[in-house]
Amino acid sequence: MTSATKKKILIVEDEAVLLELLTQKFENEGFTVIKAKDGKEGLENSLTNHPDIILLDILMPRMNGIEMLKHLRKDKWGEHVPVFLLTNLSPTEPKIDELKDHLLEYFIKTDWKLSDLTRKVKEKLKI
Amino acid sequence: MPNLLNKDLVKKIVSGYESVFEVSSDPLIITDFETGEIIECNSHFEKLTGFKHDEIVKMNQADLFLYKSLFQAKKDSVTDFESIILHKDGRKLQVLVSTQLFSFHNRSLIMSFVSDMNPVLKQKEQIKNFYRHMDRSETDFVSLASHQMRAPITAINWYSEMLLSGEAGKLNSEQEKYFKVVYDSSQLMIKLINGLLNVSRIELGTISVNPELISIQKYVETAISFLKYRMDEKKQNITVTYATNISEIVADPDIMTLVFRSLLQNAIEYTPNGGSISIEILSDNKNMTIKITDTGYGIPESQQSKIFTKLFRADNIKSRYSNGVGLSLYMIKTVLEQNNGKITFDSTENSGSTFRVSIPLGGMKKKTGIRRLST
Repeated sequence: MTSATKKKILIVEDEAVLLELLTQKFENEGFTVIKAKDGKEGLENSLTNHPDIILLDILMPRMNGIEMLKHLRKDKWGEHVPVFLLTNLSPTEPKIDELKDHLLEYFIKTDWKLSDLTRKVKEKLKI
Repeated sequence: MPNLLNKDLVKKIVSGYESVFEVSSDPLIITDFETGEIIECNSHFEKLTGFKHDEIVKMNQADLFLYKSLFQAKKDSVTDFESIILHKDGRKLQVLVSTQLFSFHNRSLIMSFVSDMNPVLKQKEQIKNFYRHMDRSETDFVSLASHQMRAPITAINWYSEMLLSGEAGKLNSEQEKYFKVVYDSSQLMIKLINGLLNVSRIELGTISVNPELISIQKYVETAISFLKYRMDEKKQNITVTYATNISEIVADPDIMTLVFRSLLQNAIEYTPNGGSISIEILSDNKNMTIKITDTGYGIPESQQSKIFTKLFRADNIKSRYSNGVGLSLYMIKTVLEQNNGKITFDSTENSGSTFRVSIPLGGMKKKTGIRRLST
């Protein structure tokens, strides 16, 4: 058991296949995984469960990742929680410009190996 | 005194130019060069201005032409200019005037064709709106389609990675081999989607160009360090020669990254193990030139004319390097030509190729766009 057992990760992803895949991967790595299938659910889960880190998709129904992040950053706890944007929008998309004030890390899913993404998450949490 | 010319003279003018008055589908007027009095007009001019013929021939050109007068007419050539004309209902119409001075019975007269620019402007605006709409819907579509395609590919990619790493149980060698093919194919698919997204943006002209003063050496070194692992794998050597008379140029960083990285990657992939690559930076008094030479497979002469075509891959390299998608040269050529640059090459099969990229010393010009080139 690694110290990751004590770490909670919230995965906000509307693609069921990817949500399942990421859940499996981070559970294999010893994390407690909280799942959300859109930004609204993600925001509720964040504020209730206070995860250690959030993996956040952008294009989602009901509430997209950008809106969720804006709401999250208004909360006293949510202001500082590390958020990894995990999306397939390229950083050159105009939408991403809206996020430049919210210091966070950005990952294009297709450009990253799952193992490297996991490593980055662990590094961020100093595991 | 509305007209200095008597009625007979007017009749003569009109009869002399009757055919012009009849056949002209444009509004037409004749004006006295000395005084500016309007002598005659055709029915199209009446229609354009809303005034009746009898009212018009009592006017001075200055009563109707509010911006730029007809006096700039010259004798031996037609003068074209834009002006604003007053309509009877008070509207101000933008018009295009073609005017010429001529002599008639010792009088200097001005003949002017006046075209209403409003329909043209309206049409231009409609065309612009159409393209604006097309741009938007096209890029939105491509962007959305690319996003949609990336989601299932990510799943294929990451699941095959998990399987290959043994997370779902140990694979036998045959399973491992097949999953490796699935994984590599998904990587190629990602490359293709990214390339098509860039091509779409380049073709639609929605790419913004943000030139800045860049260090050429920095871009060469970044491209080399990005691809060094591959040159090491293929045991290739590289030499770089910098020009002594140029070290910086005003260029868009994304375009320069695309140029250096793609041309170097092509040189590496299309050169056999142990081959050599050289990069030379040259400059004359007009252009900075990047010259990338390899000792590779070269391009068959019969296919050289197609090398900058979208999705084209030469027959002699298809089996040697299966991860190419045939978009980089097309992208480089298109984007350079949109920014006053150019790319040329010469190549001999089984001997190697040299690609030359020229960028004017004046640098690239800024262009506003809604997307950046994805590198």
